[in-house]
Amino acid sequence: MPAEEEAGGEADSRTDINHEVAEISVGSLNLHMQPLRPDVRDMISEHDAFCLQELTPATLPSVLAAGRELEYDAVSPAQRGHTMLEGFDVCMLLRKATLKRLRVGIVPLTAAGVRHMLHVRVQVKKNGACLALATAHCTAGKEEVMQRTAEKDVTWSAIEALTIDGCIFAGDTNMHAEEVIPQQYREQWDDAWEVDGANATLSGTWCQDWMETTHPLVQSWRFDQFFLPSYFTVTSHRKLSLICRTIRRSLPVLMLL
Amino acid sequence: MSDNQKEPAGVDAAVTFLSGINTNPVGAASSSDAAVTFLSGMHQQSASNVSAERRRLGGGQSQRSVRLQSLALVKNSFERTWGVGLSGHACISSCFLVKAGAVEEQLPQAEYLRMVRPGLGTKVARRPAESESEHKTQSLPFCSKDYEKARMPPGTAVILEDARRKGLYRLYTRRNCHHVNTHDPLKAIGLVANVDDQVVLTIQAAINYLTKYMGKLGTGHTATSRIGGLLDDILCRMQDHETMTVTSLLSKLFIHTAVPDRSCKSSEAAAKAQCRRSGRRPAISLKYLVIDFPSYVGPCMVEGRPT
Repeated sequence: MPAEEEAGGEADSRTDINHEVAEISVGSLNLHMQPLRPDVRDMISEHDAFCLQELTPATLPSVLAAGRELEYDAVSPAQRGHTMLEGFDVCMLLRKATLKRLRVGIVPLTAAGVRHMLHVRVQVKKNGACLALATAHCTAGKEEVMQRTAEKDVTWSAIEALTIDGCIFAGDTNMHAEEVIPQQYREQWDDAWEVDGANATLSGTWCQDWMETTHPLVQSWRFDQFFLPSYFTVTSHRKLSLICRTIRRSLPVLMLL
Repeated sequence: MSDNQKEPAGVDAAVTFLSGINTNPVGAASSSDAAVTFLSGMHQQSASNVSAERRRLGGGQSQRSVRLQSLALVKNSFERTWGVGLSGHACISSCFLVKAGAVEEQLPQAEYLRMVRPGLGTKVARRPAESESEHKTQSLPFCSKDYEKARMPPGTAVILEDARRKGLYRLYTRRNCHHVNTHDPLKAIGLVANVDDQVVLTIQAAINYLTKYMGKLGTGHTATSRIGGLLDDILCRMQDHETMTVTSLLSKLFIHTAVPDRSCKSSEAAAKAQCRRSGRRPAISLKYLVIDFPSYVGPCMVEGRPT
């Protein structure tokens, strides 16, 4: 709650917009229902924004406490009265010195599912840029491709609906090697790993307990990903004006008292 | 907006936002006829390995794509760290360059429209086009007036933090639009009454509505005899020198069918009794008003003094 109050107080202060280029670091980790250890805490402190997945209710208080100590704004659906039906949820920590939280949104990934995408609109304090940071934990399993695709659809379309300077998705997409960004989003979204040269040695992000991280299978498990947009699509101004005009002209409301 | 901006050749845009440095005149906006054009942020840096096909699509596609270059990945910043927090997952991290510009000073039209018509996407209240296949139209939600229901963009739906009150979360459902939803809390508070509005946007919907009410028959009546009786009743009240248009006749017919005789009579009797007591001119307690909109003529019932 103190974090909420502080964030509320910050909303009054204005951030001037300028043309400076700001650099922000973003991290993401699937905690795998483990408690918050000091090394995770150190990892959080190295980033301006840090996304956590598979965060249990037992771990949430320690994450919130770490956020307070490190001066991070912690945001999670669990704070908003959501019950973790699966026993875990997502969380995002934002460094207060760098980012100002503007608005939080929680989007159900699918109507039938219980998972959420958490997106936070932030303002970069250095230059006033408005940014959306999003995280989600998509359904795992090779046979759950359809479910996962639907969840990704929601994720992308939800972020695209926001008017911002840019958006970064950081989360556990659980996408297998053969799964790619769907055609309709391929022109709008880039995978950070691919943009950075698609280094095969950095491909895998999940490793089973009995495996070494150098195991050949690990490379195909690139579950944790960053996505950033390469395009935004803005509907034509003329078309929207026409819609407004049409609606204004033809909106007789029949009052049936 | 920076001073070193100039409108690129060939742009046929109604609104053009130029910010930052545009060093790519062959890009999306140079050949686009988009009404809103953004040329914001820095020249594409590390993310410049976008394929030529993408550039082609960005420049000429009918969707009027707009390219925003306000965010870029810092080259060689993608990192992966194993063994953090006993998790089987690696921790991934990257650095991004961010530049303001896209939403500077003016909200784009899409956002403006969402503010003006909260809860509505750009495709709401849209009749299915003839070109749309039957399967596609069947899968879309349509209201009883044949209009597509609100399809809120996912990002503006569900639970969102109130823009004015930090920490206050509101539930936005697909039907919270006051144009489509029959329950409007603001209106209910303002009128201190329950309201049940219906949006009538087409003449066909108005006809359906009238037919529905005219078709309400009493026991032992047929539609022809009922309507015939009502027409006789209306016409008998006319004087010899009076004339009446078809619209007027239909309006009167609707009024006769919509209101039960008993309620009319009781209201008129009560009004007459009140007038007798007060010594004023008799007034009709219920008045029906026909509102003529540019695209629709329909009856609307109002309560109050006669006009």
